[in-house]
Formats: sequence, C-alpha cells, structure tokens
Amino acid sequence: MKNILMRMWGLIMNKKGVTILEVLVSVVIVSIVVLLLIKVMLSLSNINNDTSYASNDEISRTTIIKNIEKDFLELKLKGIEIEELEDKTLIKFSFKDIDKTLTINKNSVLYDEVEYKLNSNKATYDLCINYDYIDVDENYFLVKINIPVLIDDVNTTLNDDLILTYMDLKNSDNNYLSSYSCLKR
Amino acid sequence: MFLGSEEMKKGFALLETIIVVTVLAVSLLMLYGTFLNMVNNSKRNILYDDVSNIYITYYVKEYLSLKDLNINEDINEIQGYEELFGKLNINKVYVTKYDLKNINIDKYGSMFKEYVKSLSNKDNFKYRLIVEFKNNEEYSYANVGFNYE
Repeated sequence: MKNILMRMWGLIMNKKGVTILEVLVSVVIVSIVVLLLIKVMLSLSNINNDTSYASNDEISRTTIIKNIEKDFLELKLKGIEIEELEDKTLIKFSFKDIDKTLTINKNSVLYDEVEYKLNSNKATYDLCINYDYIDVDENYFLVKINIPVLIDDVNTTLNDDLILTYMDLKNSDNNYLSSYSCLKR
Repeated sequence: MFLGSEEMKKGFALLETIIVVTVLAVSLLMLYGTFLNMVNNSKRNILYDDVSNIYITYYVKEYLSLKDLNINEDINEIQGYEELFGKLNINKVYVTKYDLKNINIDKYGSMFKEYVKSLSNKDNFKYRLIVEFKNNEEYSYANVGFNYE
C-alpha cells in the first residue's frame, strides 16, 4: 500500500523537471535578452531628454520662419531695428509700406498678432539674439538673425533656433543696423 | 532503460527553451530595427530641407549668376564664392538638372548620396540648386528648383 502511494506520489509530482544546467542556460539567455531590452528603453529615454523639443514646437518654428521670410520677400524689407526690454526683445521690421514687430518673450514669440508658444517644459527663447549685417559685395548685402532656443538654459543645437536670412541689393532707402551686441550678456 | 520509460519522460528540453528565447530575441530585434528606422527618419527630417536652409538656398540661387552656367547632365559644383558661403555655413553648392536622371553620385559622400536619393521631381523645374550646409561637423541639405532660359 505504501509502495502504491509512493508510486502515485512520484507519478504526480515527478513527471516533469528541469535540470540545473538547463535552468542556468535559460537564465543566461533571458538575461541577455532583458539587458538588450533595457538598453533600448534607456535609448528611448535619452532621446526623450535630448535637445529636440515637442513636435508642436517644430511646427511653430517652421510657421514663424515661413511667415516672416514671406513678408521679407513680398513686402520688401527695408530696415531692421532691435530693442531690448527687461523681459522681452523687440525686432522691428520696416517694410516698404508697413512696419511689423517680432516680439520675443522667454516662452513665446509674437508676430503679426499671432503668438507662438514653446510647448516643451525645458525650452526657452534666448532674449539675447544674434544679428549680422554682411556686405556681400558692392551691390548686395546679407542680414542674418538667429534667435536661439535654450534647453535648460543651454543652446545645444542650431536646429531648433529661429534663423532668419535676407539678401538684397543695397539701396539708399535701407535702414539696417550695421552691427548689434546684446546688452544683457 | 528504455526510451519512453519514466526516467526519460522526466525533465524539460533545453531545445524548447532555446526556441522560445530565439523567437523572443527575433521579435525584439525586429522592434529595434523599426525603432532605429524611426530615429533615422526623424534625423532626416531635421537635416533635410529645413525651412531656414531652404530660404538661404533661395537667396543663394537669386544671388548666383546661374543664367550663364552650362549645366550638363551631371552634378556641377559652384565655386568662387567661398567667403559668402562661409558666412552662411555652406560647405558646397551644386547645380544639376531637376529630374536628377543620368547623374553620377558615386564619387560623393554617403550623406549627400542619401539626400539626393530622397529627392523627388514632382515639380516642373528644369534645374535644381542643392546646398550642403556644415555646422559643427553636422551636414544638412536643402534644394530649390529653378528655370533659367
């Protein structure tokens, strides 16, 4: 009777089993797979913390640059003035028949009565912009404006900056700043 | 000991474990490949035809005397404006036929080749100006089409 019970117990409990070697090999293989997975997850996390900001900000950037450059070409840019205020910077564009102002705040820019806000938590506009007036040759000039976007107060890449360019023939009516240096620096 | 005896029925085959893990690994590799593809595509979006670069390319096109240029079937590099190009972070400027047919891009860098391959020719232009920008060892590209009679 005891033998029968033992045999039944053996049949129930000891049908399947795993040797220690198999367990070890399986654990090693699963560990490798899990490590790869963790590496992928860390990469995703790094990309998230990277200098690129929300896709909405990218759309805003493209829209602002397109709208301003369109005005440069269609309304004929004649002059630029830059005014620094305590909490904002104003760039005044003088066109042939109208004047428009680009207002740069820490978290948004305002142009043509449309405000474009930065959505990313860590991104801000640098109120110290970069401006260059370049004499290309005796007939042409080039103006470059760079409004940096800071991520955690650091400008890590130009790809996010608002970069405006304008090239045209020199004209006595033109009124461009020949040089500019940010007073806030 | 016979095959099929109780001793032989015990245990779990390593083979099955390996097969399951292999299937898992292949799935993860495919996921990783898709993820890498997504990263490359987003990188391409930043480096190819950025709006600022497009306008710079447009102004360069307006400035250059392209009317007298003899543009053949291949890629023609514009030279002689290094000072201006330097101020605009431009590394190279090329002019080519808009449809990009019969052009030999083998002698150019891999990034330039990739960019040219990504271009479409849906618009009705005759020529194309391609500008290669270089900023801190990072290359970006933009192009504009034009017609000069």
